[in-house]
Amino acid sequence: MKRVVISLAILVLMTAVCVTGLLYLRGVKDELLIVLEQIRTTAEGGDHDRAADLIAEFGQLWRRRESVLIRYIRHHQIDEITITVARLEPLLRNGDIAEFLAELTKTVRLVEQIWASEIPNMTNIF
Amino acid sequence: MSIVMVRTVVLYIVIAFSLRIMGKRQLGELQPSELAVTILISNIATLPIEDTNIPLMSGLIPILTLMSFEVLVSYFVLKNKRLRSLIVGNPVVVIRDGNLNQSVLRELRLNLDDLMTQLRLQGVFDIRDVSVAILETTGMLSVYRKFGAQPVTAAMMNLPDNPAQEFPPMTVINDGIVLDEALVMCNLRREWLDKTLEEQQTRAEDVFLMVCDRQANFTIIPRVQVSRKNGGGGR
Repeated sequence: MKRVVISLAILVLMTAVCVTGLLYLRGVKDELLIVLEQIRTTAEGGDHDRAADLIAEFGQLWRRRESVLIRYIRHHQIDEITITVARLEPLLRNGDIAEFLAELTKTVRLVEQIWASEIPNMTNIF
Repeated sequence: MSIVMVRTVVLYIVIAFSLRIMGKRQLGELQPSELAVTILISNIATLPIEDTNIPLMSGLIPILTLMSFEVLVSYFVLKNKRLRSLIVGNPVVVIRDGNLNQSVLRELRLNLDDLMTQLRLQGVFDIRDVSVAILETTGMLSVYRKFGAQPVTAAMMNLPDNPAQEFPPMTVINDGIVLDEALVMCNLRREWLDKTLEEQQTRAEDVFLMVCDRQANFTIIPRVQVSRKNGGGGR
């Protein structure tokens, strides 16, 4: 009976860990997408300095969230976002705005992709 | 490399814990569901060890979930006979009164060579000697021989009961360590052991193995001192 109780406790704990991880990821996704949308609006409005500040803020925010996400998300998905984020500021300052916006869209898609690949829906399960 | 090492240690601890929780049944004869869980756990554990891009949690969560699920399923299987039949299966009689049940053999896809091998392993070389042979859910064959083919027992020979002989000899000293629990099971005291060792002009530390029964019949195998010069191995 003791083993059954331990097993039940572990099962409940595992479910709680999975649900917490999922809720945290959803929060991070929403948070990141809001900042990315702000960057897009600011850059399209021509205020590149403000956009650069927002990119720096986004970089800091991503580094903080990354340290938690890396514990349960496949590392290559995280690494891809880190690399893309590192390209945003130089592209805004020196590159073509169209290329910057394309990279920004890519970042949005990558963030959405992490969330999409973690939802326990029929597509992901089967 | 250090990541791999740490991950291996963590997974080793988790798997050892899981097997401990799953119990001794897991280490002996496996039921089909237990075999599936054991194979799955060993495969899952290798993934985060081999590929450091996979988070350790991706290995820990499925292992612990499988372990919990297996314990819960075995609990419900214990409580519910119908569930037991569904998950574990039922033992099947394959030989009755020396006659093979061929339709059952076909149904189980058990060939004659395998059946005869199992019979021989049980010491039965003539199928006519079998009263009942049952294929257990673990895949083992249980054989009950006809009376004429059974080994002679004390009861068959009407020998008088000897309760003292019904208890097997126990190991009371294992590699110099006295096992008090074994002494208690032999109804003997520590004083008896000390006196016996003294009479044998030895000490517990110098005994490699000592076995004893309830009549205080004992066998002592002294520890052999292996010199470093000769104990190095090789040629």
